[in-house]
Amino acid sequence: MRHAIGLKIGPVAFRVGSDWAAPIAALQSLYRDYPAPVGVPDYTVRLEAERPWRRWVRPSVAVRGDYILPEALPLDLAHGVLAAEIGMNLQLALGERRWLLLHASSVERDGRALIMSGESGSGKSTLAAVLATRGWRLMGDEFALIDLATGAARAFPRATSLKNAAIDEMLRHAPEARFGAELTGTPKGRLRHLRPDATAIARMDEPAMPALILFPQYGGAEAAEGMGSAEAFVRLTQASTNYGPLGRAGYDTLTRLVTTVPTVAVDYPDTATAVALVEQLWDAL
Amino acid sequence: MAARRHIADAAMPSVTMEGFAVVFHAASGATHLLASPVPEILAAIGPDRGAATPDEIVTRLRADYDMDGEADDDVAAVVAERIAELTASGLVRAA
Amino acid sequence: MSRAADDLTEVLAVPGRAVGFDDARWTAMLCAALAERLAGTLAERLAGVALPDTVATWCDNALVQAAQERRSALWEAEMARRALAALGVPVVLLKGTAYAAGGLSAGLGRSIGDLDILVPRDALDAVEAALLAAGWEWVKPDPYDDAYYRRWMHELPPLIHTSRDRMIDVHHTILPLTARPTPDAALMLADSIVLPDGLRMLCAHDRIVHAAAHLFADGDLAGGLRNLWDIHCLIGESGTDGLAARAAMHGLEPAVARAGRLAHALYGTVVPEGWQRLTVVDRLFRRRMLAVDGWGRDVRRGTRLAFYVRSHWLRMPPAMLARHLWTKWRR
Repeated sequence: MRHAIGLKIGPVAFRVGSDWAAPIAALQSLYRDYPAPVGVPDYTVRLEAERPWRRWVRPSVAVRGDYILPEALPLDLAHGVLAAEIGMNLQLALGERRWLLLHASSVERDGRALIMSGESGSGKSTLAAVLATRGWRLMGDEFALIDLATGAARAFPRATSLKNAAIDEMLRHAPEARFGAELTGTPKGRLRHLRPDATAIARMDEPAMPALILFPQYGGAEAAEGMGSAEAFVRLTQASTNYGPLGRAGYDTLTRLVTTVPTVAVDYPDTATAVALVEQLWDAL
Repeated sequence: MAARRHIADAAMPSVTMEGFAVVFHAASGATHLLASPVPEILAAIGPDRGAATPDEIVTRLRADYDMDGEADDDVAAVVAERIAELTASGLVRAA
Repeated sequence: MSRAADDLTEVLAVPGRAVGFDDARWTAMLCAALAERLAGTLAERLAGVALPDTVATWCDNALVQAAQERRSALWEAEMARRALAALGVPVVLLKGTAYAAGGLSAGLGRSIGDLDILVPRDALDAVEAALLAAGWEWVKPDPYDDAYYRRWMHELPPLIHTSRDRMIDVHHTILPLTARPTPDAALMLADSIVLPDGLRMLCAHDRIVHAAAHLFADGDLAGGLRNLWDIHCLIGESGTDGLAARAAMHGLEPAVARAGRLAHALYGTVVPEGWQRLTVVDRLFRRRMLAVDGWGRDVRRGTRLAFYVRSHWLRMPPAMLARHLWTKWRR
């Protein structure tokens, strides 16, 4: 393919190819501080023109690669960097068999990991990004990788994808220099990427044992309630893209995780409250 | 019509969480959350115990557990329903 | 031709050829392997070869994936066995599931999709009823397709299991009744081999005949490299003595001969002298099969359309084809 870049995020190496220069240039900018990958990539992503003439006329990016979702809709070229992110997520979600994948953000302090699991809109990505400005190390905003043998969490600190109000929130906590270009009119509204800080990148190969699991939910009155292991187990299987395919290894890893690490459901009206709750729960461990 | 005998697939690893048995079924790769009396029924027709009809399962359960106050017919009906569900999910097969 | 496709076939045949590949060459070949659903197969073949770390990691991942697909496929076969056991009819596993269940070399690392079984034609109604009772349901509720399927196709309309979300294709012969070659399904059933759990697979020669028929007559050669690798393994395991004669009994000698010639050309399969040279038409097939590039893309779109039309023609006489396409287009 005409334009290409290699990226290594935590333990995962991607090769991203594109029919256009712009998405690759955007990735180069977002990931400029990351070490270059060596050897053979784990996954290939292709950003392709749907039809040959669509490279120039109403350019439209089809997201393809090692693993493809046939029903995926193409995106505008203006949102090419989002297409690349979707492509990388897809490869990891569909192909990964080395770690148990959880749809969760994670941060680390003192060698122990806080895992925050939730759907889009739960605020897990923003919370992780805010905590990262307050002495925690960012491990990831979207995927937590759990080692099948040791149960440790591995970092996957990609550029955090912030949407709509979360962008304005984070501009209050992090310097604008760390933000990528703003995309408007994406399927999820306004979107801006936040580059992880230098520490997160420098230490991205350091694992951490999970010590607390949270299920945050943005928008309600402040509340924190311990969650039983059975419920945590079920919710985490739903939050995993590869629990089933991992078979016995997935079962052993997840049962061990929920029976050894406490889980709390947290409701919060604003980020400041959430941060205070997190610190409180963490100190009480 | 004589009731069919059923037998459970090979022993399944199980982790107890809040009273549920979370079991892994190797042949299918599926994980099941089972509430009482399903784990007990499965144990009663494990490969080491051999296949049994619902009535025979009731007899085995009475030998293993304290079930005073439960009428045989009621228990057998519950067992038959659970066996049907277990067959559909593959944990148990007609023998 | 893309070097990735050539590397893939050459390394599958002789894994040691990959030693000394640089990162770019490895990357391209592995990507092509995944696109051709040969990742697990290639990883199995590379076991024992000294590999760079990142390649070894890729292979480990591919093997775990293949093991998962194998488990799912064998479980699906087992659930079908349980659903059909009471009928007392022979149930013959086909393709990837058969290779795995039968412990054949073609099953090593193989990516396995849906379940395909062959049953006697007069048992079709009973089989359909038993599967529906055990949780399978129809995929496509379209009356025209249904009538066409039942009258002319070699299988029931597709069924999918409601909770497991896996498809089963129930065949009563291996090619559509409208196709030119007419294989002898009764003979295939009669000579099928019983497996330990009571399911069956085709006898050695029939497996090759079926794979060859499937490769050429049943599709547009998408997945051709994988299907041809199956044939390479099957021939390697059971040889070619009596194969041509058996193929002739099913009217499929040309397909089997072509498969033998192509397997020899691409994978170095040991074949009789008569199959050691490619014909002009064989070369077109080879071109089509090697159409994957180092990014996993299909680079021969033009050839692909020609093969698609050709494959439909093979299954239906031209007048009927016109009527079928017309009705399809009108909807």
